Amino acid sequence: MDLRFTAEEEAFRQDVRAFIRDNLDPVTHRKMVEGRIPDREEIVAWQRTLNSRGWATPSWPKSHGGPGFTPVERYIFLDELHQAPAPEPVSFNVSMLGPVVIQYGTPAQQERFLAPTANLDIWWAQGFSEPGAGSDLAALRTSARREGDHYVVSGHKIWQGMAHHADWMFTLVRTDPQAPKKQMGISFLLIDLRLPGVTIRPIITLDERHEVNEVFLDEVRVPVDCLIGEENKGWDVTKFLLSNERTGIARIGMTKHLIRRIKRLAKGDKSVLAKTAALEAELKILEITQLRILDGQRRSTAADPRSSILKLKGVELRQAASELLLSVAGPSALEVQHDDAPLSLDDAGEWIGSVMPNYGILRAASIFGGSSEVQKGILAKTQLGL
Amino acid sequence: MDLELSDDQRMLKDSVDRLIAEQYDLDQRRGYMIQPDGWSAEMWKSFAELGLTMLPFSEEQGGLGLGGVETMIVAEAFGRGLVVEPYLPSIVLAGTAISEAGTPDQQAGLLPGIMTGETIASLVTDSAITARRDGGDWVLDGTAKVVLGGDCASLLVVPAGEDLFVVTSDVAGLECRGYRLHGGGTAADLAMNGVKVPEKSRLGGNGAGARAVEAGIAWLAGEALGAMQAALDLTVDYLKTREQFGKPIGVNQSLQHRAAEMLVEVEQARSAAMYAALLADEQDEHVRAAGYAAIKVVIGKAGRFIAQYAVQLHGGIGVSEEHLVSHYFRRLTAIGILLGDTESQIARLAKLGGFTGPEPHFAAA
Ligand SMILES: Cc1cc2nc3c(=O)[nH]c(=O)nc-3n(C[C@H](O)[C@H](O)[C@H](O)COP(=O)(O)OP(=O)(O)OC[C@H]3O[C@@H](n4cnc5c(N)ncnc54)[C@H](O)[C@@H]3O)c2cc1C
Repeated sequence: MDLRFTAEEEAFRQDVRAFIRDNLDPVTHRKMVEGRIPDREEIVAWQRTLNSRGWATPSWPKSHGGPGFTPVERYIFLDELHQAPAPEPVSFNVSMLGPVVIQYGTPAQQERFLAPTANLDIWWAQGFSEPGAGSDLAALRTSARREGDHYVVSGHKIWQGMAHHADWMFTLVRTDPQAPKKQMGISFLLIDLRLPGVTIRPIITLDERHEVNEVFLDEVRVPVDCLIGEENKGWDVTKFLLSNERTGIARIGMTKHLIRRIKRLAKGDKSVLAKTAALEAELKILEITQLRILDGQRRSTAADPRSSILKLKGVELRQAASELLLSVAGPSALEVQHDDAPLSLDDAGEWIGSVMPNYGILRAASIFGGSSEVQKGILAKTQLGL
Repeated sequence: MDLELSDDQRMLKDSVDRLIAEQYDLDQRRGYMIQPDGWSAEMWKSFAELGLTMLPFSEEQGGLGLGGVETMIVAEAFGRGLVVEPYLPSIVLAGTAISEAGTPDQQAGLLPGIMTGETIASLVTDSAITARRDGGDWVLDGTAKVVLGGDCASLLVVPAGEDLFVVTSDVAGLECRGYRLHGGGTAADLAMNGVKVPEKSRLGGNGAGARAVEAGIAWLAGEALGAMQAALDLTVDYLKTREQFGKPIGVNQSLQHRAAEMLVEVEQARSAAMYAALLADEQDEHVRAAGYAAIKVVIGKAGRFIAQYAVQLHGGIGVSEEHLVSHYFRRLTAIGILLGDTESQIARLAKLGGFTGPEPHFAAA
């Protein structure tokens, strides 16, 4: 047994770190350090910078324009982004839609969508959830009926992250309402959000930010060449997408960034530092769990149900860190401030305007991407046979 | 990176697991615990015959020269079996201390008996014992509490001042009050009144005591893992077989989720045990110190969680002496307390600065 990275892997880490340091726009970096959300243009610019280096699509194979990273390289790459901290490549594009088009798309669809998806020329939104279909996603009701060369789509999607920035939305629709099982009548459709009949309405979240939206679809005519995979087989595509979303990583680097901020604000306070140490102990061991799962991925590419462990523990520790940061920031953290408050580019002082908003919105991390309850259900069933 | 066992390690695991499965069920264990020493001399002999008592010692010392991973394999099996024989005190704690601090001559004098299992040794890890010079020799005074295996050891390794000293248990001026420990095993409180130690029984210092405690934490991590996995297995089994309201209790989602939470903690404990095994080779003292503190924190917390909920999910039978799960409860609780409890390890890790920051990952260009 050996936990060490190879010399090549260590060198790769240094490369990534140097690349981020030399190429990340200082304003974007500052915003990330302070826990603000960068603007659309800043995210696009960064993704294109990464793309010019061949790194915008860490999970894509070389054959489809990706860097062909090993699981370990992918982990190192994302860990450096998280610790920097720098924006991750837009996950809707890179972790969700891209792999689906690679796996299920026709050559024409791959030709049309992959390159612009990597370069963020198309920004994708995820049109899965509906008011009546959350954890029970297959209960979705948005309908699509075939009319000649088009699907005519009507329905109500909710919680679309960054849809106000988006150009297109990958969408689950019901094409066969008569199917014997609710999973069987679903199709995976790509919808251009500029089409007539699409309305996007903001939802303001408890951090007073606009990050998520509702999307109303009213008789939207979608060309049939925007169907991914077979009609009524969209659930297979969905399972594939969700397993990619969930085999992700514990985002330990993001928690490390929070710990750095806590320590700066703690100014030697022993009780805070003890609470921080308790968190760091678990985080250190979670890193080992992460490496064990990566080691398993080198041996088998099948989705690993143990990644639910990473999601559960990773989110638990990140939420605990955000809570500790809130506590150490003190009552001043309650002053309402927004991400557009003036930015100071020198390193003096810690801007705490994002601390309370981020503590609040981080509660969502245990709700989306498979809620903690859903993850526990998966573990009980697949790992314990309950 | 490679986190799989080698073929040799797998073979070792098979043979130790088999020994424990065959020789260490709850009734057999009870039989061992009522022997005069509180453990079985015969079982101890079987461990020696399998080579387990020689396992971590180098080939130059006459041992098998195996490492942290092999020790973890043994510890995990012993944790599952709730083994009460004095492997931790004699082989891991005292053995490491003598290997680290002794001159080659001292090692040649002390280790062979320990490796064959004929000598039981013990390490004082936490003491208020002082050493003063007396001509060319030394005199030790003071007390030590909860010395693991201290009641049955014929050799005691005692830290005093800068050094470690070796004394035999029959030396004049040493009082020893032995007792059984909750969770299995034995210990002693020691009092030394003018115990004379010749200069040749003074081992070097050089942090050997700290290295021995680190080895002890690694051992406890492996043992805790074995006990936690076993407690979870028992619990999951019970959820599937115990019926109330006309169906297995495991159909209730609140219990399924609790079991899933237990699994998360067991997997964290597994990571902690593996990290502990591999950290033994780390040369940087600070990295080792912080790492072992983190390991002890995690096994302490995870062990509590598993112990408490394994009992809870068993209902009344969970608190009965008759049921294995109550024995895991006690051993896991003890492991959390021994060699630095969770709170003290958290404080230690905080003092060492933790692992991250406060300075940024890097300053922007
Ligand atoms: C910030 C944010 C961003 C999001 N972004 C997107 C996006 O971009 N695109 C998109 O399509 N969706 C998005 N979502 C939606 C997200 O996927 C859903 O919120 C999630 O699937 C949960 O569904 P729900 O909100 O309807 O909660 P419900 O499913 O109604 O759950 C309510 C509670 O019940 C629990 N629960 C549900 N079923 C069970 C069960 N069987 N057993 C035990 N407990 C259960 C849940 O864990 C939860 O605690 C986002 C959500 C948030 C908050």
